[in-house]
Amino acid sequence: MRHDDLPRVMEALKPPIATFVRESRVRIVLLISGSGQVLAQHGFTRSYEVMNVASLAAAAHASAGALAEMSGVPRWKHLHHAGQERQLFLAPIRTPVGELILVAIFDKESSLGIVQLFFEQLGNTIRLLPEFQQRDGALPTAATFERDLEAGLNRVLPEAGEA
Amino acid sequence: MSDILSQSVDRLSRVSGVLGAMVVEADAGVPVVAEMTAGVDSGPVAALASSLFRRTANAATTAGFGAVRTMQLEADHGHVIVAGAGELLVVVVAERNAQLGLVRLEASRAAEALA
Amino acid sequence: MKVPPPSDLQRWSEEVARDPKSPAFLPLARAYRKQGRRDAALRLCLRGLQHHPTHVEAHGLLALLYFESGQRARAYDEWSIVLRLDPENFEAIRGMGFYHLEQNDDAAARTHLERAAAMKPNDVTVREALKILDERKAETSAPLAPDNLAAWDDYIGTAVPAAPAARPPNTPPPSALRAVPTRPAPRPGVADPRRVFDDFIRAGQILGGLILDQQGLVLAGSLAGVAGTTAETVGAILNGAIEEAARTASLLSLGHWCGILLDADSVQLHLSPLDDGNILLIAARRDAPAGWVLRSAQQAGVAARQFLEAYA
Repeated sequence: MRHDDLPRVMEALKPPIATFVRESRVRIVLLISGSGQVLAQHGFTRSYEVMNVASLAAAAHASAGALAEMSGVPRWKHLHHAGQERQLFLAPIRTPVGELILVAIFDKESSLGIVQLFFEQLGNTIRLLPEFQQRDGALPTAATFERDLEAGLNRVLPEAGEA
Repeated sequence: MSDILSQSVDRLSRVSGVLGAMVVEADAGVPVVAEMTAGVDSGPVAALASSLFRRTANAATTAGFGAVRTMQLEADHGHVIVAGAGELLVVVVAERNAQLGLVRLEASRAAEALA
Repeated sequence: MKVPPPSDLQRWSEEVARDPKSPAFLPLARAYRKQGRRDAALRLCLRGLQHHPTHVEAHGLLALLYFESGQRARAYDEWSIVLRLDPENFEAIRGMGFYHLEQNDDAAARTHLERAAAMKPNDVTVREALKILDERKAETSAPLAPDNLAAWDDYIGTAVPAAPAARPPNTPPPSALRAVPTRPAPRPGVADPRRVFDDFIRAGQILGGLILDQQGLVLAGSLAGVAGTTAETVGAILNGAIEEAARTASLLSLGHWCGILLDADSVQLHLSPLDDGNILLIAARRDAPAGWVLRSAQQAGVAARQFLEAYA
């Protein structure tokens, strides 16, 4: 996703992400592009946390994809980790523009079933956004990963006190 | 155990007016066993019914009414009946004019068998 | 009217329990009235009229019940409705006559009573009332309308009507008519909002009831009969569950939510929506049958709506 498009895309994602957070009652949400650009977030207070989670989420997704391939399945629908107090949900949203990755962290105020239900609705909504209807040309490369990540962070956390 | 689950769901789904019956994992809100009529998706039913049961049960307990055993949601076009069975829930979706007495009875029996 | 045999009472009870829309509510309500169970008769009538709003005889019985319980203005309203549905209804014309007689509106009383006398010249109560009017006219003090309405019973049948009386064409429904008649006396109401459901509690139908606004604040009612909780606590806590119920019904394409019935350790609870986002909560005994709890909730809902109409 090109830099020029980033503000428009992030603005377009705000309402569906807000709806997802409200309906699913998750605590933390992070939506990143396949290249790790942060497109939306909710619940983070420090930018380094966002960076860490974004990087790890991209890596986890890539690993899961590799495992799926080795297992002979086309793809995983989602990853779910259940902790004592909190749970993690990680899932791809496939769009014509490219793949997005959603990371959601929730506690007992929500449930896996609820997160799945509203994640599906979120995916359907995002796929209908004009910003995700057409491909933008050349896909970002690994070389642009950090630059894109930083650009995304500056937009989602403009008032973050700590880099 | 899986026999009991399947039998419970089967009995419930045969009651007149029942659109679907399932056993749901209470915390996760995902179906374990389900029998639904065409057009009724077990995933959303399991998620929403278990979430509603949990919230109303928590509220009732906090308000001092004790633990909730069954919950019945009445709506314009149908009912959702949920019976608690420990870590599982028995969930039934029924038409407006279903034989609710029998549905409630079978749901409670199923919950007792599973608890 | 004699008290019907127990077998009839049972048959009507079973019919009504099986089908709340059954017209058997009317003879059952009459029987309750005859047994002195006026509150039960009243509730049965009100509930039956929800399903049969143009039922002339039911409105007539309700008017009698209101009159007997001292709710004269409500009795007047009901007789007004009867006359709109059936302008030649003898009981309503006679009832209006008695109402006006009691209100010392002799002219209106005479109009109605003379009309009633023309329809049934042998009616003892009408003759007595006209006599009172004559005596008043002769400037002697006259007693108020007779409290003993037993003679009226002679004119109330016991047969279950085949169908509710048809409404004349182009006649607005009774709910619209209620606003039209002018009432010389104010509608009696509940002075203390905590006592809105006292009748139901005294009758043992419920342990307590609350009317909550959409923010979870208590508007009326009491849970004094329910141990271990306070009305304000319950209202605040259950608000979130109500939002969840509305969302669940909507997302599962079941339409609007109509109620939640909870079977808890110490009580049964029923929540239902009222108008304008208000909520009715009733608490019933743990061992009460579910159908009975639902019925009680419906009836309490009528009382709640009346309270909101009058006071909120």
